[in-house]
Amino acid sequence: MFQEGDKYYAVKGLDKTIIEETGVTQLEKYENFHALKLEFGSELKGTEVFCFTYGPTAGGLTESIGFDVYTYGERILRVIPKPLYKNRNIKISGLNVSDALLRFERYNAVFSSSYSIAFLRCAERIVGLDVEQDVQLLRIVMLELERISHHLYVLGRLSEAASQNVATANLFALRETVLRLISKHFGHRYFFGINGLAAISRDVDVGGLGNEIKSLSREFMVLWDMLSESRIFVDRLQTTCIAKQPWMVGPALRAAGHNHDTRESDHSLPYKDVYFEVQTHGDGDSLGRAIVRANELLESAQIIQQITDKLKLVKKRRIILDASCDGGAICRLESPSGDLLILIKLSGGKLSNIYLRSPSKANLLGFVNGISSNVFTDFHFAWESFGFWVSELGDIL
Amino acid sequence: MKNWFVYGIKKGVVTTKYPSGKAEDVAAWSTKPVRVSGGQVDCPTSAICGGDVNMAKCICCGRCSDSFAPNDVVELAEVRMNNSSFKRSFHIYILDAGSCGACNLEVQALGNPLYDLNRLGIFFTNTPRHADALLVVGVVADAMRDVLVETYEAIPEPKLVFAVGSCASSGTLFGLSVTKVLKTDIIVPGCPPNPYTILDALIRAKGGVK
Repeated sequence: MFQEGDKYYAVKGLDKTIIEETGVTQLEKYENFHALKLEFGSELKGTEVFCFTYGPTAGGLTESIGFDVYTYGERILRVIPKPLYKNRNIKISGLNVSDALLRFERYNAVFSSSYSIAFLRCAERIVGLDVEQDVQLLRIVMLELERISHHLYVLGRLSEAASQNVATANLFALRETVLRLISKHFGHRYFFGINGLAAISRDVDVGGLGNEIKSLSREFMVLWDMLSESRIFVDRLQTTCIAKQPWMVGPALRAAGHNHDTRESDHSLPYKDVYFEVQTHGDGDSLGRAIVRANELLESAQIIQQITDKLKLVKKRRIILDASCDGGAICRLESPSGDLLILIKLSGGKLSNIYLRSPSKANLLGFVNGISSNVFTDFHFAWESFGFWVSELGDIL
Repeated sequence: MKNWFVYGIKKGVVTTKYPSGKAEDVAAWSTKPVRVSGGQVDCPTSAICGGDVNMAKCICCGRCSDSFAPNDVVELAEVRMNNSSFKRSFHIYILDAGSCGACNLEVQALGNPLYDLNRLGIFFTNTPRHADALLVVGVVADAMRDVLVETYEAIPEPKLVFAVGSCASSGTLFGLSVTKVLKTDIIVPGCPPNPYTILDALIRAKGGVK
């Protein structure tokens, strides 16, 4: 669901392509209505039930977030996340496209190219700009590199939580190799400053990248085969935090057996020009989410190879936005953790209205529902398997 | 091959020789841009003053790339105070006060085998009570201000405070810098800083290599 002025819209269907105008009363009937507003229920009372707080700052958490954990002992009865400790209240209204782009890149740096490309696609639609094919293909390369880097990070965190230290070291070393490849070809490890309106801001040579990624994916396959045979790793993830709700997005949705990937259903980028298979799993547990990520990583490597077989040097170009443009547009894009949705309105070349639904926001209730009845030591497997980023739960104003 | 030991041996040593050797594969746009030609630059954070770039304000957006080029030097940190009593064992507590996630990951990356900060006697700790230094990433979000101060107070003396990244150092586009809340001993600029830049700052803060 999203709000535009005083009107409310519901986004429906498994491929989330049906957008209907509705009212608050109708929206309240949806299970995830309050979760999308980051409201997760009230305190739990009962015989010997008590609550303890985990976070907002703790060694096991990459980012600052608080959790109220209700329990009567080892078993988790309810978790209420408090995700707004590090809310930066990023103000974008009133800015022009290039200044807003700097904020979108840094909203969640781990998905920087996803956010910047989704935002730019909105602006390009409003202005009616055609994006040249080489820039569009380069955008796909960026998104898939981001996916590989992120999936390696998530798998590394899961492996670390299962005390698989050799696997963890090697997965993080592989991730570092990906970041170095990104910096070698794009000049920045998180794609800051690369994307522009229907353009890129510096020359990018992706020659050789296909072979570099091919050798990396081979190394990953050996590692993943060994890790999947570790009973310790598998036992810790299997049946942990089962979540199968159809309103989730990304690997979490696909791990629940739903065959949906925004790369197939949305045509913002020419994914139809490359071959890839949507990866699914049926169990909806932490292991299922890890398997989907591992398989997607290999698919992403193949997509990059297909593109870099044809694409070599993409020359920089700059397009300045006409200051008088007006209109609104919506864009959805498959980030590493799933479908993100951005809606913007421009008025006189400045942003007047923004709505953003991040994959972390879409999936957080899945975690909250799934973690109930698990035990404390399952917590990190559950949390990391969703690939959550707290920064993208914050407000964009 | 199903043996982790054999896998590790075959892989060999991947760890950098830095600081005795050169920093490898540094991301160009994490280092300081220097002027290479004339022309007006519209810097979104006013980091450019005359011919020089104030790296604490620089967000590595590359908008100056027509007139400036990065110099590939990773030793960017400003170390205002060091403490050689941490030379052999230096424990760091990381606090995210309101970051985009990039600085968090670049600090964490120091634990991977390519950097392996443990070889230099530097360790991450999970509680401020065991820490010698507080390493803050991100701007200070409103709800994190008290958390930041409480965490600082929980660290025993002597202690050092790092502001890692341009947000923590100057606030950039997003808000309040940590330097406005706590007395900061080490400024590590960059958006995000390269892991080598953070490593160099940690080494200098503890008075060099053991």
